[in-house]
Amino acid sequence: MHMPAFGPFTDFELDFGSPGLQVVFGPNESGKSSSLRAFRALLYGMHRQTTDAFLHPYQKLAIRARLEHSDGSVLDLVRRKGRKDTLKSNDGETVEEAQLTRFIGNLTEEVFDRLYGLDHRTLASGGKALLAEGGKVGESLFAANVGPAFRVVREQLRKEADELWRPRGRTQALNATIGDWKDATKQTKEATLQVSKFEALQAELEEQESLAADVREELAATRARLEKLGNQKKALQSWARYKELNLELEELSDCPDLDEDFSRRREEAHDDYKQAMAELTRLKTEHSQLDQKLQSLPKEWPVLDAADAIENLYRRASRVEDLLTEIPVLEAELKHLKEQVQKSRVDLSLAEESDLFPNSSIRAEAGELATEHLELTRRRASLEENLTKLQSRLARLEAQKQELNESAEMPELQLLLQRARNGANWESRLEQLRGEYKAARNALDSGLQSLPFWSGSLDQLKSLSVPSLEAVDQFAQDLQSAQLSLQRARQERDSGVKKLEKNRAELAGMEAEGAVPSPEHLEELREARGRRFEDVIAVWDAGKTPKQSQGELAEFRGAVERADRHSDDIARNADRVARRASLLKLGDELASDLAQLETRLKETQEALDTLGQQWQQLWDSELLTVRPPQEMRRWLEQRKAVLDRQREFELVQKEGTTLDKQRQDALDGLVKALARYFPEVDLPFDNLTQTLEFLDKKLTQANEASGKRATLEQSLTETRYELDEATAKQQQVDQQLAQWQPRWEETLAHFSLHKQPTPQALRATLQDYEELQRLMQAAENAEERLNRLLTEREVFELQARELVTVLPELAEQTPVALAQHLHSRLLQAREESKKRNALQSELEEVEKVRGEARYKLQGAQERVGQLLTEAGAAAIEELPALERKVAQKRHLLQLQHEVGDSLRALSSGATLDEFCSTLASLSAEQLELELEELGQTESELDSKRNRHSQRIGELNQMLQQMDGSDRAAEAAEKAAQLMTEGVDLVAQLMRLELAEHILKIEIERYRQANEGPILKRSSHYFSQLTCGEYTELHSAFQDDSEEPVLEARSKSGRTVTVDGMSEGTRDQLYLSLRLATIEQRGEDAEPFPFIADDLLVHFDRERAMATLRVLAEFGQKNQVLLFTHLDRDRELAEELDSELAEVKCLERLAL
Amino acid sequence: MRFIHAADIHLDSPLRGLSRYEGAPEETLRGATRRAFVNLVDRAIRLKVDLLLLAGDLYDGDWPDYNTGLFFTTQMARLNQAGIPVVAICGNHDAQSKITRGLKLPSNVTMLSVDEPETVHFEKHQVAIHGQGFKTPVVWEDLTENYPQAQPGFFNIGLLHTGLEGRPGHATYAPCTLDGLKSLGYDYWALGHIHQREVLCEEPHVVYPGNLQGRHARETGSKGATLVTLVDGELETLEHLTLDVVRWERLEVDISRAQTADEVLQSLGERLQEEVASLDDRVLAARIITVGSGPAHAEFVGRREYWINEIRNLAVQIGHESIWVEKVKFKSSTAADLEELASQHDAFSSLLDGLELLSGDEDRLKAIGEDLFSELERKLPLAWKDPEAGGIAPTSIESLREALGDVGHILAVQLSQNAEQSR
Repeated sequence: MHMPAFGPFTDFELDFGSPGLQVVFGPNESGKSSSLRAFRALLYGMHRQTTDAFLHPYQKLAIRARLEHSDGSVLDLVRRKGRKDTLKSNDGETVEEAQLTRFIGNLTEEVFDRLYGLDHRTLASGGKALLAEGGKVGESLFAANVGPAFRVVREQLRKEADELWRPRGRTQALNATIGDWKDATKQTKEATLQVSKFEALQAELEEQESLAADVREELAATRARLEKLGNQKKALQSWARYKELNLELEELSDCPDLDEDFSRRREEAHDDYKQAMAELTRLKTEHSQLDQKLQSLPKEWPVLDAADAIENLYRRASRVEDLLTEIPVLEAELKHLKEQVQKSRVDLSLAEESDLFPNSSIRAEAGELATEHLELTRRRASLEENLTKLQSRLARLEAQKQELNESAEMPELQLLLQRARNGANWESRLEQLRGEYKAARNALDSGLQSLPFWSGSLDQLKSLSVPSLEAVDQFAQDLQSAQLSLQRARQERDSGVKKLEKNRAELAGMEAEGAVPSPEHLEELREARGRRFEDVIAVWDAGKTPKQSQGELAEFRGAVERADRHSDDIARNADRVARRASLLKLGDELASDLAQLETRLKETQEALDTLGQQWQQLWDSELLTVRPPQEMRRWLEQRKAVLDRQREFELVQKEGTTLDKQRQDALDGLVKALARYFPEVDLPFDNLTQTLEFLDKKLTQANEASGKRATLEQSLTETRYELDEATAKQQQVDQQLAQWQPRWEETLAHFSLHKQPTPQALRATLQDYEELQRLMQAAENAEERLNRLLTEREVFELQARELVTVLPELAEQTPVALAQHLHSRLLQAREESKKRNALQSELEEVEKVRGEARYKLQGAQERVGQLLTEAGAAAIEELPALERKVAQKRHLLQLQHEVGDSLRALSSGATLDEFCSTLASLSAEQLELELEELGQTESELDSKRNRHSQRIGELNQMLQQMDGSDRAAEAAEKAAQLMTEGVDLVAQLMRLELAEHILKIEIERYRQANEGPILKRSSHYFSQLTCGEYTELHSAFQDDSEEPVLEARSKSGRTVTVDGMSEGTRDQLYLSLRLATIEQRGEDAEPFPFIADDLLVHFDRERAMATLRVLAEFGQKNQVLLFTHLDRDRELAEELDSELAEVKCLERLAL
Repeated sequence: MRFIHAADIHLDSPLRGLSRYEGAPEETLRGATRRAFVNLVDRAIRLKVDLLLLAGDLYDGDWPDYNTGLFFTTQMARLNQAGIPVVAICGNHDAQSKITRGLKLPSNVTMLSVDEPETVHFEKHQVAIHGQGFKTPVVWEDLTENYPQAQPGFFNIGLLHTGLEGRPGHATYAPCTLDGLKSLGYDYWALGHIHQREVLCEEPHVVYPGNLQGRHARETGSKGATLVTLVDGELETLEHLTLDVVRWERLEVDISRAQTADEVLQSLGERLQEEVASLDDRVLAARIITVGSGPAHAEFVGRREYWINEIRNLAVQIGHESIWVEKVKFKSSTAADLEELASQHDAFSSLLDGLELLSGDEDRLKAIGEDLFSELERKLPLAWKDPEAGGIAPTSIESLREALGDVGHILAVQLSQNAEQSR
């Protein structure tokens, strides 16, 4: 396997060319996993989103390989990334996947994974599966073959089936659906409204409504009477009260009429008077208190006049405090700066800076020139180094070029290769034709064998004269039509027979009911009567007297009576007679029809027979059994198919012969040409494919050499070009340096220097000089600021001294303290002035309120006087008693009015006087009695009406519910949905149950078919894998099991079952079963390498060695590729015989 | 003059074959036959038609709920208010219905006699309607034998519930021939009984309007009634009115171009988008059928329920309550998967051989079926076990065969998936 570009690999090769055990050792990151992926991708294509395109782009990915078939044939191919046609030959031609499939024995990727791939994890789960299955032989063999995952599948199937349904379950999906369906069906029934129910309810409603109307009418009349009597009863009591009120009002006739709000007015006037008096007293006290406070405050403040100056001084005081601190600091800083300047001057040996150095632009230019010089010298050094490298590379490449041999170019090779390829195509086509020939032969043979009714050979079949399909169809139609006619004729004949039988049965039935008199019989009787009459006439003619002819007369009488009786019978049974006659007539007709039908039937049968004979004659061959037309039509089609196959066969045969000749000619031609070009080669080759391979190889070698030379030439050209470029650059730098020197000297002339400095030294001196400039500027700034602060302090002190005149007692204070004291006094004076103004405003307000109180008092006194006049009283104290009397009179008048109204309301329209006189005539007891009776009647009627209303309500409600609702339909719809759901679940359940069941029976069938050979081979491998600890493996029935289980015999003779083995031993058991399975498969199918990936990780050294030995032995029949990252495994493998095992080491890849 | 000809209303007849699932538009599907009928009445009122003809089968024969009749009466009363007369006959279904017998219809509705042909005249429009309903659910006689000849000066309409000379899926009740109908000289034959809309003849017009609302997956396409316009006593136009609220469709998805089941779903999604765009506030009851041959088939059949759920989810996402996936039928076939697996010379290929043998051994399969499913069959409700009514009989050979057909795929897919997971 060669990986030009795949995953981390570039042009990397893994040679698995030898059979046996191939151990691929690679530490982590050495590309071991990538190799495995490449192996899989080679066989089954690259994944659409492969992770192996991180180094090479998708379109470059490629895996080359050579595969060898067990029949010795070889396939070279390249797998590329893509959607289709990803398999190519070495020369880029598309290779059909089928070609590869043949080489890997039709093995699918899945079976490759399950059977031929094994890593330590799968091995461990295989071991666990054996334990979980209790070592059952069937399950173990199955697990070794399809992988341990089959157990999970079986469990999943069971679990899913159990979740669907259990015979006595409720919650499972299907059980629940059945329950829901039953509910929905029940709901449908419950919601269904029966027609009869609806009609019964409507009839009852009509009846109830009629009854209720009657009761309502009766109740209304009773209530009207009850109301009238009730009114009279109530009126009797009111009337007595009315009379009493009239008397009481007469007694109060002298009382004055006062307004209703007189009392209120009187109370308000009195209250206002009292309040005004109290307010006046309170205000007087308040006025005197305020006045006292005002007197205690001073009347003027001198500091207020100088307020602005004081505030200004106070604001600046804190700033001056800060100045006092800053001034000494500044003084010290200034001193320090001056010292530094002095020192720098000494360092630069300067008395004044302008002594030595030119102006700033000259200084800058000097600095830039110094820097430019530095850059140029650095570039020159770098170019020199590069030049040396390039010269050395050029020498190396030229040496390589000298070494590379001039290999012969062979343009003719291409032509030969094309010829060989054409020939190889013929060979491949010939191979294909052989298959087609065989298939066509088989198809022809099988077609002939399966052709029915024919006992001849193919040639006889071909030369057989057969009728056309149209003729067969015509016969089929004729025969069908004749058969139909025959069938119809038979049916009609049968029907005629039945009718005749029925007719006869009916006649017989009539006879059985009693003889039917027949007109024919009557005719006979009449003829007999005539004959007797002739006898009598003859006797009389003979001259005999009637007495003498008694005998003849009696005969005649008898004949007359019989005829009359029969005639009467006919008249009496006219219906039956007519019916019989009709039946007889019908019978005759039916018999005649039947005869005709029989004739027709016979004719039809004859026609059919004739047709049958003609049909037989149509097929004139003893080798053919002639069948009915439909079958023969099919036969003709089958015959045509056989003949078609024969034609195909002949075509294949012909093409094969032609092609074989062409191939042979081509081979001969090629051999001659090759002998000319390659005299050293042992010719001729057996076939064109070998020639093609040979030529291909030669051409590849020629191409490779040519490619290498071209690459070398390209490198040489590039290197020379780079060398020239580097030299040119170096010269350019030298030139720049030469130009720099005069500019430098010209600039230095501006400096008064004793000796010529280097550019670096001058650049350093200039930097020191710039630092001195900076220091001098800082000292100057500091001095300026100090002077400004001192001036500010003096101004402040002058202003403070001017303000001492406002408060001379503070003259001794410092200017800052003075400013603070003055400010404090100013605040105090402001506070006192504000307080005095407030007190004066309050006093004015009190004075205003006192005036208002006096006005109110005067108003109250005037209102009291007016009230006394209205009531005719002398003093305000008399008024309450008078008011009470007036109120009582008013109350009585109101009562009298109300009682009068209530009487009028009860009078049913009569005037009050009329009603009073009616009341005078009534008796309370009698009224009471009548009311009681009416009340009872009303109550009965009311409850009756309620009962009807309630029922009507119920009926209406029931009918309203019958509103065309779709509840039943909805429930039916739901039931239908549930049924569909349930049916789907049943189908699902069936699939699951069947799948599980089939898995079970097929495991057993597999065991029965394979147990013997696989266990035998497993036993051998197991013994080796366990280093002889176990000597044998067999199957046995345990006491409690119905299926056989695996047992191993230890070297001490003890029998051990799977559950008695250690985990490691179980893994080895699984491995031995797997190896035996593969070995057995290899007997029927194309062998395929067994891929073991880090299989020995968990094995100790001894068992790992034993496993390697087993794999090496196994590898003799079936190649084994073991990938491992363990040094130990590599060492152990190297200990094995090199004939049996090969070790390849992968280097760690620098990714 | 305009009239609407409708038939086969089958009010309150449940929609069949729908299985509920999360997200299925249960609400929007409810009462579909009623809503379609309301659509008919609405349309008649809006178009101000002069007459409505109902050619039989208002309800299902065995449906006992009188509420259905009351609902019908309410709708007829609406037409009465709008001044639209209705002439109707009984079909095979409503002939035995107790609802028909008990119903008191508003004055605008004329139910024609079931004993003999009866003629109703609409003098204003010069229209004569002749018709006879079914007296019993099964009528084998040709009722038109007694229909009167066309009356001169009138536009003659024959109202008849008939299977004509036989139509697939419908019993041939009241059989008659097209020639027989023509011989009466009528201008329009308003037929009922066949649920598929069909204009059998244009001189005179013999029309089946189809049923008003499809009720199962075999009744696909637009459903409704026929609007007929007469000008000067001559038939001018014939127009199909779409009135259904649930549209049944069979959507076939070709799997042959897809590599995976997901890709098939993608193209199905596009198809559903198109369907949804043309729904017009209707619900689509879709039967999804996979056809063609490809690798996705094995995926579908191997995890049938999973993929059915995926398809339903897709419909929920695309349809937003407007698609109900009635059934998913995997009628596609596999490219070569099982054949390939069967040629692998391993235990699984031996299993597939066994499966093949079993499917050819009816007696053994039947015995396994009895063993596994006889108890299940006993516990299933009777109505569920009738295959004619969409049911399933678990021990029947047909059901067993169908289930067995999937087993190979189920085992192959599950084995492959579990092996992948364990790697």
